Amino acid sequence: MLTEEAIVALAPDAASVKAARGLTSPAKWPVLGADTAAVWGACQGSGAQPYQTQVDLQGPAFKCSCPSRKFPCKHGLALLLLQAQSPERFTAGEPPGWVRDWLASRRERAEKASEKAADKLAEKLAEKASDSSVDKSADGTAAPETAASDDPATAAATTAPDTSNRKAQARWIKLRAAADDLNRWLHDQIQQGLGSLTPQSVAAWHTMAARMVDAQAAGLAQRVRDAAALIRQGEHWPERLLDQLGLLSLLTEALLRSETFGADDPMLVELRQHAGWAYDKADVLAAAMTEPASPRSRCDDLWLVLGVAIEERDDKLTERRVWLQGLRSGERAWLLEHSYGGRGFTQTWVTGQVQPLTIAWYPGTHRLRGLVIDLAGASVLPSEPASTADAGINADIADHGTTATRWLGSQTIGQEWQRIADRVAASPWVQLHPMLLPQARVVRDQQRPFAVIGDRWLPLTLDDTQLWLLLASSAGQPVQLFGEWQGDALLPLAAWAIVPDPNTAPDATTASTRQAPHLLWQRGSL
Amino acid sequence: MTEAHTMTGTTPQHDLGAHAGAVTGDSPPRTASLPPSLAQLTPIALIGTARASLPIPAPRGKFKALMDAGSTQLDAAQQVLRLAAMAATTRRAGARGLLHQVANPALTWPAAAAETQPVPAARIAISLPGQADQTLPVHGLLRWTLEAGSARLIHIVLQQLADQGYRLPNTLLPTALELARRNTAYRPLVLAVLGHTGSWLAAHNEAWAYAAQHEATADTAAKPAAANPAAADDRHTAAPDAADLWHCGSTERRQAWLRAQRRHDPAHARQLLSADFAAMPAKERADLLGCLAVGISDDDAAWLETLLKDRSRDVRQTAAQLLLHCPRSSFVTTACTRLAGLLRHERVLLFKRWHIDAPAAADPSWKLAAIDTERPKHESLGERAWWLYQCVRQVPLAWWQQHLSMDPAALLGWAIKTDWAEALLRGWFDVLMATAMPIPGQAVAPTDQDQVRWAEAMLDLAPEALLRRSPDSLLPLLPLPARERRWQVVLQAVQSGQQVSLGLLIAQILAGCPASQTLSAKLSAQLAQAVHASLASTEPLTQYGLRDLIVELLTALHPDVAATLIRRDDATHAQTLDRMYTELEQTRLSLLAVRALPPT
Repeated sequence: MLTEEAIVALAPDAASVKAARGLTSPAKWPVLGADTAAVWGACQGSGAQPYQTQVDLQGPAFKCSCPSRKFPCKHGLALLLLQAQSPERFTAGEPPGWVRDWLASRRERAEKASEKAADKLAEKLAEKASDSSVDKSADGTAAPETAASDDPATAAATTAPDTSNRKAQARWIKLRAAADDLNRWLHDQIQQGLGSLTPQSVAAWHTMAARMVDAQAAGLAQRVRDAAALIRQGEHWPERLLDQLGLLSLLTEALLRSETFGADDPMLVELRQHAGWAYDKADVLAAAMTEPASPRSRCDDLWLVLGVAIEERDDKLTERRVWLQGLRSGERAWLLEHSYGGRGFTQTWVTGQVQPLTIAWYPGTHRLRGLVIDLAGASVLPSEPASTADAGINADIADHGTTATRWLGSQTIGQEWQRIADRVAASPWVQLHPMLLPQARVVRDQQRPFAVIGDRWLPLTLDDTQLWLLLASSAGQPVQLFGEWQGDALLPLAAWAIVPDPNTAPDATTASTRQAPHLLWQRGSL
Repeated sequence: MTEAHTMTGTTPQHDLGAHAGAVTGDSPPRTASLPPSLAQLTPIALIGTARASLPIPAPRGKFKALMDAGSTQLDAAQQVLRLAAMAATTRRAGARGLLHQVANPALTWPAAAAETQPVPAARIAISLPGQADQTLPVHGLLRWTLEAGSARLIHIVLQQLADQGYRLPNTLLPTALELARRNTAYRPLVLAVLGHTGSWLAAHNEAWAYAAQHEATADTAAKPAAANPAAADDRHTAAPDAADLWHCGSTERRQAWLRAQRRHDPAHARQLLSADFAAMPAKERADLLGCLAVGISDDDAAWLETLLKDRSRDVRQTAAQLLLHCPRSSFVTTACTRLAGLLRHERVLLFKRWHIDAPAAADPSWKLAAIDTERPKHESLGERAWWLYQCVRQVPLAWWQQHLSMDPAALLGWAIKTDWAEALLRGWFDVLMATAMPIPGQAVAPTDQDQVRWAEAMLDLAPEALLRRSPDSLLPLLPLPARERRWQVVLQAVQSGQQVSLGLLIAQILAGCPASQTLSAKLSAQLAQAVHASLASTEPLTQYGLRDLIVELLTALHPDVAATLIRRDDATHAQTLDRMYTELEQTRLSLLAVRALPPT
């Protein structure tokens, strides 16, 4: 069962939490029921008919007959809160018809979706098979299959490109043309001087960004817009602007020379993704499914949810960033998801939770962004053998909290900076880095929040409400602070209590280390 | 291989990270093999390479090779961009945060002292007769109380936490501190449940300075506290190092501490206050002086009399009020003599009658007796009546009973018929309030039946028009049964359909029943019935604010009756009353939860 904090973290905004708390009196719920699969209830709303609220615990997924546009709505949240508070009020037993029907339709849809995904995967796999056969026939050697082998650049180099390869080649040409355009424009800006920029220049920069969008280079467009936002804004704006333009020119120059790269160079994939040519999820999954498990394409592990950032981009689009830590592999994974029109996310991530998962890596020069392979969905693939590691992982589940605590306790700040340096060296355009500060004190200096580690101060991106909650939770003691390093500042997402190391603190009982990480604070909705 | 590729792809990856050193901060670079910095490049980029030819700094080592790579010669703008790319990348790879070389005071802040007060359990099991057992989420209810509860509920809940020796969970501290920042009435209550963490947190926010406890105190607070036999508001003063608290505390903290000291050693507390008194600002002098009401006796009179000459009018008035508790002081005896001079016992026909006259002219001696000769602008009394009122305010009520040989009711009957009724009544009212409630809003148990009789007589006889305020504020001076008898009369008027509103009665009850008290089961049941009748009537709750009053009334009802106020069955207006029912239920659960907390 989810904790109150975890339920609150599912809410789309603070107002929903407040509204939901107001609905947690059992008197409002004439019907309350639960079984292992779902929780349901009837909530007396403002209408004559009570609302039918239900939560599918796989997910969890919400459904409610109320007209709210929020998702999940306050009734769904209230139902879970009520269950967390007073589970004894929920009658166990057969779910009523409206719950059964919904669950059944969800299962059916899920099956259909996974069939569809499987079909798509099978298609991709077939494509891949033909690609590799082309490879073999082309150079006569059994080229090792890599995650990037279905890259369009590879295809471009082959003698018999199929339709999708022709398309890819056309796109590369378009992308290089866009890079050339932008490169000249950047050159002009430096020739004319950043000092000649006025607030009116922003419009001209946005026109440039629009040209990049037209060239299907949304990533380049976004970087131009981000840079435009710096013009005559704040202290040291010319320096900060030059920093951005420098990185951008590095990207355009690299794109212009991309033809000269080796066909299987992961840098090609890196460049295209930063330029805004997104990688198809199905391609990522296909790469992870085909060959015998390769650490370049997938990773089976016990994953700790380090933190979750939910950000409303505009009124239609919500972005969710989930940061996972592989407790055995040491890998860190980033799940980036978007939801449109307030529909919410199908999967729930609870900070501090540990679960066995398989992550498929996006290709590129470093491993960070990934996708969770739906193991249930994957099982329909004939080529996919059951993971041999499963048994071992299952045995660990009971202990996974302890494993997570031990892992958290073993990190050093030096490792963290090194991870960032390595990642930047592999791809300077990465904008967000996951970062765990093992012994950070949160302080406030001249109205601004910082995390202090040794003699180093990291500015924190944190509004006052969140800061005071974090300070109250830490009580001035050092904490383990996890967040997103943005290059100059850290956006904190979660804080854990530091558990004394049994090796250095002999008086600490073994029991105290055999426990799940103690989450002190997590960031509310942004 | 191109330079872009080399830099990002196949160079041994640790190179950049390891050599870059600290670059976002103000610490010097660790090695010389860095590209020119953005600060060096920015002037060139600002002016524009086409406008002026500033020298472009040359990179060294590996970075020079990157610069030279590529087939074509780079022009000035291209060079600047490429150097900026190197600087931007090394800066990102080598970031280590800001290095503070100067000792920063923020670093010397100690952490909050270890807590001695526990936090209540997250859940508490409740079993009520005739109901299924239930588990209440204590922390969630505390949050609801602080965010949405009625003032009285907040008062009860915080008091109960303090009485049982608990503090608030850390996650509720910002909410509680903010609540008491906006509403000063909550401050003494909130201070008692902040724990060391809350006091520590408050010291970091200027807006919460009222609750701040500074480092010296926080340190000493960690030591085991000396046993402090104590009323609830002493708890946060458990730290034994008095000097720190007295010298570093906010006014609120000093007040609480001073009251606690007065309970143990009134003379010592007075000496401490008097030693620092002259150096304090006027507001603080008046605020702290008020604390002497705790444990006041004739011993305090000598010092209080010196304060009648204080620069601040507030201090002079407070001192004069406090002196009412010192019947043997020269201040009081002088005041009595002064009044005696204004009274004449004259014969009218067959019997004698008391006659009172206001002073005819201002007396220079008043200056030393805290009597203002100048009438305030908006004063309803005339000039002479204003003087008389001030003279009356300085005389204990017992003196009137003795001097005129009348009981309170007779005195009131007499006063109303005199020419100076308003001056007399308002003066008596002030004296009664000052002696019965030395700490504003907190009634002390009446020490003698006279006080009760004065209050009864005022409530029965003193017209609101003369008092210029409602005599209802005297209700807390009456014992509960006496108060309830009065409310019962009003309730009957409400029920018999007379022009008395239920809302007015509830407001009166809430004003007249301190948060520490609940009504008898009998009156509670009658009120619950009246509320139900009102809810079931065809025009429910048309009166503005009645819903909020009903929610707040729940906190004053006898616990056994409280549950019945939430019956939904008769609510034909469920939709409009929706919010009220939710609040009633949350209020009821909150009360249940805190009342069930075991003492620590």
